[in-house]
Amino acid sequence: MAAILVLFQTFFTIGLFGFGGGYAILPLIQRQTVDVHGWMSLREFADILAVAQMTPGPVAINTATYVGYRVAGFWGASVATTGVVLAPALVVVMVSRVATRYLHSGWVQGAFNGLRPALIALILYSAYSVALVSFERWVVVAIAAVALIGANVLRFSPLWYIVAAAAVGGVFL
Amino acid sequence: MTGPAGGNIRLLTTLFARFFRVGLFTIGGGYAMVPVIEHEVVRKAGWLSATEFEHILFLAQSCPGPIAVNSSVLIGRKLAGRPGAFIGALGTTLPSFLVMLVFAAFVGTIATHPRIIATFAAVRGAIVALIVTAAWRLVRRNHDLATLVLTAAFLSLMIWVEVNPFLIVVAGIAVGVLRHAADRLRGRVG
Repeated sequence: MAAILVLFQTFFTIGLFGFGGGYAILPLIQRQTVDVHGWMSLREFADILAVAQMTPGPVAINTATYVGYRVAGFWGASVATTGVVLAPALVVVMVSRVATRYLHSGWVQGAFNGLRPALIALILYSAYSVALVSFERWVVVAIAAVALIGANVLRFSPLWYIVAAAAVGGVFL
Repeated sequence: MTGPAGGNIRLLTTLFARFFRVGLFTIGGGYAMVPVIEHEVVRKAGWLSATEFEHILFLAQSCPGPIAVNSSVLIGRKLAGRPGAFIGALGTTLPSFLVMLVFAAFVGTIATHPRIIATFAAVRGAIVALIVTAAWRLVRRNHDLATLVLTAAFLSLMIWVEVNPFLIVVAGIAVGVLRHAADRLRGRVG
């Protein structure tokens, strides 16, 4: 029971201070799970990252589920995952309420104009991070090129490219 | 809020199904989900305009937590109030939770098989393309000089100076607010 509470509190805090999303949250998770609570070794943490890159969903959620399970089984996983999602969900709703009320004020529009390049840069940076760990073979680069052309010219659902790439990788590589 | 009030079971079911699919297929972390969410809620369902979706992304990236969860909470809330926000969070989170649970219970048994590794490597290739496409769509809608220069500057800072992404968000807000302040001052002066 105590472990469950500590898990919830830890991951709630990680969620609350996890600004920047995705890979920016990782050092925070590492400090809490490896250094502060000793729930896993650094090696194990690195292994989880590798797994998190292969599994669907935000890496913060993947890590929370995994660590929670290792510490206290199914309920540990549930509590840690709920914790990491809860704080951001509450904060984003509150911020959205305020921003929507002042949506047409020049200040909010000004902030949005500045956030636009930040968003584009963050999205491109995320593509760069994924490319960094996956462009080890030319076939993968070729798949990326084909999918890039396909997504912009043919406009199928993005999901088809993921399924097609998985099929190519599973059968031919 | 413009959406219908909570309690619309059919809307909530569709919402859950769409977000579950988004959560299930987006390997490679939060920003990989952006193009898929856009496809599901803007293009296919027509629930939001491109501008409304952009505003939601701005708010989602300015707050703590994964951008995919934050934006699905806001989309769900816009469409179906509080129950919608809950369903949005649940739908996005559940697939990764379930998959990771299986991984945690049977660690290392599948991840090391060469065919599995090859499959995921190929998928990551497609993911890179999808993420770049999401960025390209935003650029096509906003290609004024200031946006392009700032984007290049922010990206360079993250890649070569390893500036924390959240500081980039803070810098973006600061630049935007300061530019607005400058515009107002100029307007008052002349």
